[in-house]
Amino acid sequence: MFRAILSTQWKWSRVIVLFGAIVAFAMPLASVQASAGAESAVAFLARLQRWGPAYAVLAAAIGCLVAIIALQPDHQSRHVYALSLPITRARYSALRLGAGAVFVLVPVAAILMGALLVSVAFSIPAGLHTYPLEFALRFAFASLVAYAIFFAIASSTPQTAGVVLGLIASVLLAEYLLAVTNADVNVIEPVMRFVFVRPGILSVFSGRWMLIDA
Amino acid sequence: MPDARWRVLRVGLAIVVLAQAASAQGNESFERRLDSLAAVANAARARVSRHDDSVSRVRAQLDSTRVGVFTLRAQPTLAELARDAASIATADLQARLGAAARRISDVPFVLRAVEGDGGPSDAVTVALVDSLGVERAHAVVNPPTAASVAATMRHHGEIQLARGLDGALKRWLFTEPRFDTVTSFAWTQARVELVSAPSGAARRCYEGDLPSCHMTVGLRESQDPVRELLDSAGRHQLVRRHAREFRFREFDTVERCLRGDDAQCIGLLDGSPHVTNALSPFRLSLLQLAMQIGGPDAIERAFASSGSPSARLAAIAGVPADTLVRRWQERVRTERVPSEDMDIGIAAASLAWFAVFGALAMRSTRWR
Repeated sequence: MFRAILSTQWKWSRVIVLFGAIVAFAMPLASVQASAGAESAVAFLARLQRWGPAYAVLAAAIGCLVAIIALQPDHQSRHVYALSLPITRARYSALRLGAGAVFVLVPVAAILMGALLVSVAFSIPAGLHTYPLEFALRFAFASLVAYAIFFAIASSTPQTAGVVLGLIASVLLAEYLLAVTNADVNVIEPVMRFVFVRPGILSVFSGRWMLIDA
Repeated sequence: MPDARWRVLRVGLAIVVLAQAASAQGNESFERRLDSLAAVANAARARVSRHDDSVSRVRAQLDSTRVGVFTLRAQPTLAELARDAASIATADLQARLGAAARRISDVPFVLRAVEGDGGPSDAVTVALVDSLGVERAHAVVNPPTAASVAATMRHHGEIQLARGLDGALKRWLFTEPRFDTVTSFAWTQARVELVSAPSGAARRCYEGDLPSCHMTVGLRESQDPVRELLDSAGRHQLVRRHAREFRFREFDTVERCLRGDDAQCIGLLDGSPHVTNALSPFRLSLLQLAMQIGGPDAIERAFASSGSPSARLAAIAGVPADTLVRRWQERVRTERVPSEDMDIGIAAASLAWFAVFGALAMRSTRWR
């Protein structure tokens, strides 16, 4: 069953997955190449650090697109295929989730290869070290978290999506109203801490992404 | 003639009357100013008197005691907290600083409750009394537990001890000494700074050239630091870093240097403190390492030693300066913090969130 799901889902996702893999492979090479002319190790690290958000965005984009593509055909066919199978909805969902997670690992393998190539073939300033495995693992976890979040959103009913969006809008509205009334209460900060500070939902995306560091 | 005499008499009389009037007016004015000055003086005297009263009242409220290496002055309500904190801090300082810890007792520590707008608050201030009797370096501790007050006393005590070291060592160091050990993060920073320094000597030191290390950390005087410490690229880099300052003095020379004329760069940097300043950050880690190698009595030896920085560091560490510098170079080269990219916390949090959202997706009612 899993093989069948994997096979059909691959056909839908392969363009995005392969494109993501190419970008993921090229990005470490490009970032080190762009930082190569720096006059010192400090300047080199500063240049390299500017690429950090790009890796986070790439991981989020791959996770998001693979999740949406995994469920889009089911939504379009009004879940006829899913309902025709002799398995529970939860199992079907788990199979879809698992298949997508396997595809997410393709760009992860590509970024690992790119990072390994950098550590072997590129000359980096003395005193600095490459961390290809740690870096690829970070990318893998970020992609998987993004994938799971978007998969859950895509799986949910329009009402649930409405509730999530409503909650986000409520926080923003509350912050605006509190600011207008000069109330000394900050709503956004605790929410941001919950989301971005470890062990927050998106904490894997925050912080430094450094393929090469001291 | 009589008319003329009368005229002279009248003019004279008028002058006398005017002089009298002016004199009377001047006296009144002076008296008024005198009164107002007296009022100001009285008000100032009263204010000084009130201040003296309040100071003596506050001083009278402090209990003096001595616990471990600390001389304490604390409000009676804080006396017990002060004693507990001093005991904790003393044990720690004696373990780390050895016999030198006793030098902290020269400076009294004052503990007071913080006066809030609505009366006393829970917070406590810890301050030092300087040689003029003035309380300085106030630190607010909130909540004031024995451990937190002890940490503040320990910190202040170490700073005070460091200030007691003689000027020669501090001048070589370019900063205040510290007695804590160098963290892995600080070693990592030192490595990046060493390989990034605009100095050929620093880079040769990183590669393992010991004489260059001596020069880099300022243990060997250089007759021509601009040429010996810096290479052409380093001089160019250093001038560019401080170009704004140099341009104020010698605009054309700076421009020629930045265009690649090394002789102009040498001229600009000759005698400039930026040359040695660029390498000064490494000295503190060398001193800290010397104290770490030297053990608990190293600081006492720092106070007792004299001579060149090299001789003093050797005395502090209890090993020859060459050995100390070699160990410093090894630590700079090898010590590093783990990559920030991945640790068990990131992995655990990510897997947990993946499981949570995966479970939510499976519970969806959308396909029913």
